[in-house]
Amino acid sequence: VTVDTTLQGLCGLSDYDEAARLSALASYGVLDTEREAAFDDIAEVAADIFEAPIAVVNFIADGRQWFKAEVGIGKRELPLDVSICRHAILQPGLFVIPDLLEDERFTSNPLVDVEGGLRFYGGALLQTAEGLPLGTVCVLDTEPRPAGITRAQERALRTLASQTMAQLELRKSRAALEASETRLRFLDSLAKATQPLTESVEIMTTTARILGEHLRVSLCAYADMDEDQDGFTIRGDWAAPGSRSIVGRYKLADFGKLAVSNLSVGLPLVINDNLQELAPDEAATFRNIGIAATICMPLVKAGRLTALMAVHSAGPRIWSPSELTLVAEATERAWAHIERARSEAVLRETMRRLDAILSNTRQAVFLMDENQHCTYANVAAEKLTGYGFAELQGRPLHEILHHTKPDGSHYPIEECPIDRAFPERAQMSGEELFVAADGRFYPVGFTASPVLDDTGKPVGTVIEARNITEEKRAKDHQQLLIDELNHRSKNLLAIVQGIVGQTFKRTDRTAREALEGRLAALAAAHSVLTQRNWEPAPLRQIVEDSVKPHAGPAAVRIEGPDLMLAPKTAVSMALAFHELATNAVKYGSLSRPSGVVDVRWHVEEERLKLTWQESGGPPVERPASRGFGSRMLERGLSAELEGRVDLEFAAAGLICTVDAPLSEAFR
Amino acid sequence: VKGLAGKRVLLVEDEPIVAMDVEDMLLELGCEVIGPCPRLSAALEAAHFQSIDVAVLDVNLNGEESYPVAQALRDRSIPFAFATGFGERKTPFPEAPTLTKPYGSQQLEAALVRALEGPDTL
Repeated sequence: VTVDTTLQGLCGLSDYDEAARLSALASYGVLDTEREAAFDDIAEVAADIFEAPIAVVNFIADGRQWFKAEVGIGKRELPLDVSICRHAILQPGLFVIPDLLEDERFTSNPLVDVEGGLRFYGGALLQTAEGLPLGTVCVLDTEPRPAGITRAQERALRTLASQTMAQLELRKSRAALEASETRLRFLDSLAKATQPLTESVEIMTTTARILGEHLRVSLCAYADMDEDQDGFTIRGDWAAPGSRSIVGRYKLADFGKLAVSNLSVGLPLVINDNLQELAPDEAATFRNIGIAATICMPLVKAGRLTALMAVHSAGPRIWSPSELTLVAEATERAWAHIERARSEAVLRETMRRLDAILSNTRQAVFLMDENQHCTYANVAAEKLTGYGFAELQGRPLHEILHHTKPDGSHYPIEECPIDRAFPERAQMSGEELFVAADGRFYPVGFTASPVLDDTGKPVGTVIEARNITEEKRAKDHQQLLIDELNHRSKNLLAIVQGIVGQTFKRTDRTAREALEGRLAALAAAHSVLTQRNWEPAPLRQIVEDSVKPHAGPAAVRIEGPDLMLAPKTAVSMALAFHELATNAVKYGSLSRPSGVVDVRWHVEEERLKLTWQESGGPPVERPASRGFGSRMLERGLSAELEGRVDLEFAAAGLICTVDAPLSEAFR
Repeated sequence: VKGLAGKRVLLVEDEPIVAMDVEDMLLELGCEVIGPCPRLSAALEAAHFQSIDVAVLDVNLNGEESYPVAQALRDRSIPFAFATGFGERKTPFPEAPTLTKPYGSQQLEAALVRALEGPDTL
């Protein structure tokens, strides 16, 4: 048989919530405290007024009746089942039983039904402002008092009850004030100790020490949660003498289901005694690191468990709400401070890197504000311009570096491409002439890029510049060399032509003209390549240059996509088309005014497909033997292109087809 | 070859083989050749004092430009064409056609005919 020993169970009555009543009682923090004169006086005055042997100030707690003050009992508490007051607190005002033996509720009470037992009871209810009953101020006698109590006694008992409540309220406010002062002193010392710190581990360690010492616990630790919301790392903690540090990596799941379910939603895990409150395997995790009672305070930021503050006690301990608040506050502050310290560290590192880049690059870098005034110039910029940053700062660069054109006239800033980047919101680059302090000009290559804010509005410009005097000189020199090379090779071809001409000495005019034509085609191809500095040349131009000297513009129709030829391929192609053109002029379509040539090409599956097709000429006859032209096309060009070149002597006109892969010969 | 037959052509060219070859071409075209002058001094003298219908001037004479010769000819209203191994480089004499080396007798003939006709007929 189980006995319900709660107040309501014992009485079977309730018009209030027992949990709320117990919580209200706990809020006064009076249970199990030492005796206090103010309450002792009340009990003594009650005994005096009633001339009674027994008087108490008592509270009905969970399962027991506890006396803050008593006269004539010699005990601080009694079990609830013998309590008379538990009946008293179920009714408002006074509760007077002149003879307990005559009241059926108490006849079998062991304190009553005994030789010399209690016979008279008079009690006044202790009630909170909300109406919750806490206990009574009451007097008891071993003699019955059939006359009850006098009006004066009644008033005195009520007054003593309200005085008791006043004392309780006073105690409560004093405690709250002390707690608040303690809290402020603690936060102040915490702030003073952590304020100068910039390293996150120092902030963790110091916060843990101050909090741990304040709460007089054995260990206090700050943990960062991993991204997975399970693993966490303790980098900084504090351990009281006799306890050891728990710095390391842990898994939340190892601390039990309660830990996971509470902490992940931002609720603290509060354990007063893990042996009592946790399953044996979960308790073991705590016991292994020397913990009996704990507060694990979670910090949830942006919906994610971000950090934890663990406060551990080696022995069981009942944590108070104010301690929980304090831990939460310290955790929040430590986190904010650590975040700030971390972002400052990142900022410092970023600054250090940027500074290293900007100070060591040989590119001059300027930063301009929204008024196009200089707000930054690196070392290379000072070197380029000959001005120190102090001289450039806050001034428009254009006025210092770019104010005059080479002809001596003023250079208006509106015309300056460097300054256009800002209003046009577009990166600009090019070459300009800057003016040195001594008035001399020097060429610079620049890039000006607008700096946009989050809304896309330009707020400044980054200008990079470098002196390109040497570059230009080298380029000019290179051009000079290429020109000279071209000149010499052309002269050489002219000399070769001269030698051949002198050697044949007019004996074979046809042969001489053929040679001149071929040399001219070779020279023309070289010219195209020279103009392009020996970079790949367009197929169209090579074809046009080879054919144009032999035909009117209407007689040759060229059609095909842009395609670039490697220099060597371009020369072979030029010679091949020269052969086709001279053949067409002599025997083919270009020998008649109405004749035409169609040159068409396209790219199909990464292959060049080119056709030279003559029409409108005299009927074509297959030549008896192969000349230089045929060999040049069918062997020379096909080998160069690594493809096929076919000549078809169709009666309507010669057809030459080229089918070659787009290899390195093309670009 | 009607256009150039009997014309007195000043040939300024410093490369002997080329000079010989061009001389042959001119003779074949029925021209009378003055020169060839391989140096600036000789060419200048000829340009000033010889009776000339038209001239072929190599732009580069042993590292010197032949522009003074061109100027002397222009001063006497004698037409001329340039020959050069450099691409189609601009000269200070826009009226003069430019022959690109190496050139054959057809190109030579065309250039001299163009020079004689003058820029207006282009």
